[in-house]
Amino acid sequence: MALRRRCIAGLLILHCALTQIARAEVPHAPAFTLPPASAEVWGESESAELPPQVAPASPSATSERLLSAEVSLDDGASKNTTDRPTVDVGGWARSQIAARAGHSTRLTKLRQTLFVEQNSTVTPSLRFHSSQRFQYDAAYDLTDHFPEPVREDERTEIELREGYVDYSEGPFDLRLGKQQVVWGESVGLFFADTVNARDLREFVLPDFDLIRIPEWSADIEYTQSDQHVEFVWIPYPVFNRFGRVGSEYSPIQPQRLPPNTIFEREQEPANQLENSVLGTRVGRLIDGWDLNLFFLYTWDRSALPFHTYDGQNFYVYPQYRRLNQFGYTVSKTYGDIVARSEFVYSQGGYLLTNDPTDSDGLIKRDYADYVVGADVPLSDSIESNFQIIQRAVFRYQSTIQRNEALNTMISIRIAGKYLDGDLEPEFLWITSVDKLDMLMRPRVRYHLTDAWQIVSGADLFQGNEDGLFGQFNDRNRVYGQVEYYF
Amino acid sequence: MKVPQTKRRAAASIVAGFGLLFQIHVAIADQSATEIIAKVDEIRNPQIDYRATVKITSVRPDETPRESSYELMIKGRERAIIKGLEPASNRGRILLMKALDLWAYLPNLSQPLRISLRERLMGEASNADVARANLSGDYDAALDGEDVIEGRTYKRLVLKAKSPEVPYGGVRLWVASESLYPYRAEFYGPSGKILKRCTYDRFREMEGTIRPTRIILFDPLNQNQRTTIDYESMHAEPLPDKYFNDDYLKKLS
Repeated sequence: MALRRRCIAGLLILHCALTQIARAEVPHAPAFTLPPASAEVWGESESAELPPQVAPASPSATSERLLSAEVSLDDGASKNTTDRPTVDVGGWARSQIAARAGHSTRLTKLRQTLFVEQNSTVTPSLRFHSSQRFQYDAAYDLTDHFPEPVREDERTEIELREGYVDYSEGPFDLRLGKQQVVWGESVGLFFADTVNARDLREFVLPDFDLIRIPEWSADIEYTQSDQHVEFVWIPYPVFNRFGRVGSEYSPIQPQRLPPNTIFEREQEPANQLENSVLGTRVGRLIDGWDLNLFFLYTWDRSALPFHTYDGQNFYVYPQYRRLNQFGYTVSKTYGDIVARSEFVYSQGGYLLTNDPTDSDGLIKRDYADYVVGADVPLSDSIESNFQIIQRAVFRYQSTIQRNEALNTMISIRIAGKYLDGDLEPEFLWITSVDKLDMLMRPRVRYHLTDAWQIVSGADLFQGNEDGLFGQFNDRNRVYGQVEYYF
Repeated sequence: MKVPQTKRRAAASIVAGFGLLFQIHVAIADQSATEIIAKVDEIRNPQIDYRATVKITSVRPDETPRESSYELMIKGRERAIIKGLEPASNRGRILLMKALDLWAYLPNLSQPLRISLRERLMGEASNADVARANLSGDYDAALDGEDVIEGRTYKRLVLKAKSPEVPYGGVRLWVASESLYPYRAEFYGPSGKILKRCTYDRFREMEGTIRPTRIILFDPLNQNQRTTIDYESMHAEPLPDKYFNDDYLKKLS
């Protein structure tokens, strides 16, 4: 109860902070005086063409004429194209190289990726979309430091990424097929973005778009200008993918396991309708506050490592459990500052415990994850984002591992744009206050041309190996990539 | 010398009368200024639903000009969508503007993100420069005099932000005296620092009215650094309300 009160108090404080940011006094603009007009600064004939000397027709007459739909279009190119069937094809190709940095330097990635997408508009209310990913990583052929199961899992990838049909009727929309459903908008980590399973074989380092695993589902939406209602049904959910033992970002490090550990094969829930994922979200824009509430009847998409010890062997038998999640996302701009917050309450979660009386090594506890943050421009060229992230575990016991009663993280992101947007340096830093571990992600993107971009950066982990980031403290990497958009 | 009370009353009445006349004059002038910028708004951005295609060219000294093109979907004065068409790296990026609230949909995140209004689209052009023409809604206007430029007379107006959330702290705007077409403008930050200047150019008929179809934005510190916004087409078309919801952007990408 004390923890619940502390969490509620914490939330109230965070909300007060958010409200204060939103209500912060900004000097009212009309207080200033414009400097005197000066003809010199304009030079001669800056405007190549002088404006007409005859006033246009009255606004109301013009608008009425346009709205009457009897207008003869003055430009052939301006005809309504939405009634004609169209097919657009586009995509990107990416070549990536990455190497583990530090005392055990090694090539970890030499990946070529081709991503192609097609959009077909049959009628204004019927549209098809599909995208495919083709990927080959030569690091698994050129080196021998990855075990065979890892090589099999990560060397090549050919997949239908998304494939769905959009049907629209008035304010109602149906999206049916393999798709991503996105509910959150936090920086660097996932919070309210809980609908789809995730591909975590590279931890959370790839683009979010590539981390989410698109799933066969139905997404029904009712949308008006300021309100939105959504129902999601995933009949046959898929589950998070992790790197196999021996891969660069596998959560299971053999050297950290007890001796004589035996893994049993994880059993995913059967493809039965009773194992569906169902969710709903309701959103409304009120006085600039963009508020969404959601509920998701889902699974803990990560296999839970139930385990037991028989005196000789340590048996791990991963299983999946149901999870109810509900929460909110909210954002608000005030001047140049964008404030946002997300909250997810997970009911029925399991956490690791070292309680000797516990038979399976996991204990059922509810927990809440929430984040409060703000985007703050530091100058014309530099943007920043600050986030405070917390997880509160309810009915906490000291035997619970990897979690405190209240876990706090802080993230800071600084991003700039220089050379007319051609040069984009960025630095993301996320640290756990409790575990004292951190992830630092310096990165520079340069636009060589409109189609070609190069990226260079590093993903640096530090700190306690029990921490979310510290577990990879010997897996720092530097990387470079070339991207081509078509 | 003692002034008779009747004379003092008469003098006071005259002063009060002049004061009242001055107030009426200011009120009429301001009313006129408000009408002028409403007219400018109507010329630039008719109060209807329409689509337009826009090309933005950014020119910097000693560099190859950079071009990008966008589709605009505009609903009245307060709602706009800017959809990236070219180059390919911009394709699928969408900006939604509702009054002074702005969201960006980024394909590599597949999610709409709330952003601030002053974020730059390309070169000197901000999102507001391209998608928002609501001077009468955003600023209090006053007539500031007249200038004769190249033999023509232009009214000079000073616009001050009605709230700190609007794109600029203030604007100085020149409009043709007779036709009220916009000619050029200076845009200032909240501190009074000049941020950019612009000229309105290439007056062509679009959707039944002659409009400036080119806006050239200048960096005030470097006259050779400029961004041109060309409106290449415009056509009236009813646009559903739902398009202008951030959750709908994924369907427009």
